[in-house]
Amino acid sequence: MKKLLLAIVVIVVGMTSCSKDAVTVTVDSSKPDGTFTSAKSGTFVAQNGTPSAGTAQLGTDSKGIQFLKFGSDFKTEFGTGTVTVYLSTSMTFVADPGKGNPALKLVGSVSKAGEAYFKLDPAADAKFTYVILWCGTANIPFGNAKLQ
Amino acid sequence: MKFICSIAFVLVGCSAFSQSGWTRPKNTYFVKTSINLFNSSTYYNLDGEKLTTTEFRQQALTLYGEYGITDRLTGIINFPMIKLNSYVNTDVAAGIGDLKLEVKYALLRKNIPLTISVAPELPTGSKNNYAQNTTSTDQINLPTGDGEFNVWTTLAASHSFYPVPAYISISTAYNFRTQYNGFSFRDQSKSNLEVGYKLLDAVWFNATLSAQTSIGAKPSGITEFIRGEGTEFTALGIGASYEFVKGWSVALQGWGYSDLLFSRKNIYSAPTYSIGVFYELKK
Repeated sequence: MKKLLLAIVVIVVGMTSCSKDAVTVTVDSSKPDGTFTSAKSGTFVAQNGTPSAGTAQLGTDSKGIQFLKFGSDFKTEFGTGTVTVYLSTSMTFVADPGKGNPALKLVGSVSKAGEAYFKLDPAADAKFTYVILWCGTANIPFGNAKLQ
Repeated sequence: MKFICSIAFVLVGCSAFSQSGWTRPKNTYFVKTSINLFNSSTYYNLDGEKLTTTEFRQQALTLYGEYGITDRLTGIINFPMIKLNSYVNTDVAAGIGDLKLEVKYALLRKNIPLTISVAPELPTGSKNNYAQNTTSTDQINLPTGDGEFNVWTTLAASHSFYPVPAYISISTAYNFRTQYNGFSFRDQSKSNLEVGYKLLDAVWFNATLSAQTSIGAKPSGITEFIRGEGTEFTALGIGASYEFVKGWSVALQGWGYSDLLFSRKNIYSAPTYSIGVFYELKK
């Protein structure tokens, strides 16, 4: 009888410990959902002695959300701190805050080399054909890439 | 006046700007503390292109001292006790600078005194020192030291026109630089010319010309320009000192940068001002 009770306890405990926890799936909304498809791409050209290089791509994910992607070969000058990323209508940073900076669209900031995604929701206007790497504090361009 | 703050993209430490061919007599000393003030929105990048940036500001409090170990050997210390770096749109990044220790030896002591000096500069300053942008989440690195160990070797000659109260000094220096975080800096050379004249037996005036260039080709890839890589310039300065109490003097100095001998590269350019007080114990 004792053996039977012990066997039941072992089975119950075993079943309890083996029961599956609820699986939590975390969706990182800052990254593409599904496959990223590139529509335009360009290569960074360095400015002001920085080592800026690598590829930039503008495209959408499986749900049609637009993203700007920096490739794994992306790098720039990070010794100065964070670098601000803009979409621009030209290779030159033209600020006009009085009119809402129509030639620029702030994308975000980057602080390390390598692959990075920037979600653009709502999607950027087609007039933005350049990516600019900008040292926002000093107001110096670190590089740009023409998207084509 | 003996220093200038050579300010690269963010800064390079204060460095001896004008060396002389004289050593200090045994057991005499010279101690000076000075404040340097600088602000500029004109930056020359590594290619020498002139850019207009947000205004950069630097204030520094520096201690300088010389001691005559023997009549031929002088010990020198140069220590930026505090540096305050900022842009007009950031808070202030503060820290000590790089400590420079120097020994100067008299090779010749007669008509044209000639000295050689060796000055290791220790990376005591903050290698990374971030200032927060006050209008955004951006941070910018404004280090108060360049993060590397380097050694200045200087050959200097002087001549006194006594009994005319005037002198001339000329020097050439080589800066052997090492590396920071795997990046090897280019060595540098710097030449200086200084003339001085005492007016009305009361005030010493001086004029200086200094030029610095880099040795070798510009490296590709990461350039560490915030640590003074590739900083080149020609600087012109004038100054005056007045002994207001026996042994105690006040000194004023101003500098400006130009492209006269070497074009400006990787440097903020604007007039630099300094005010200092020094005490000199003579024999």
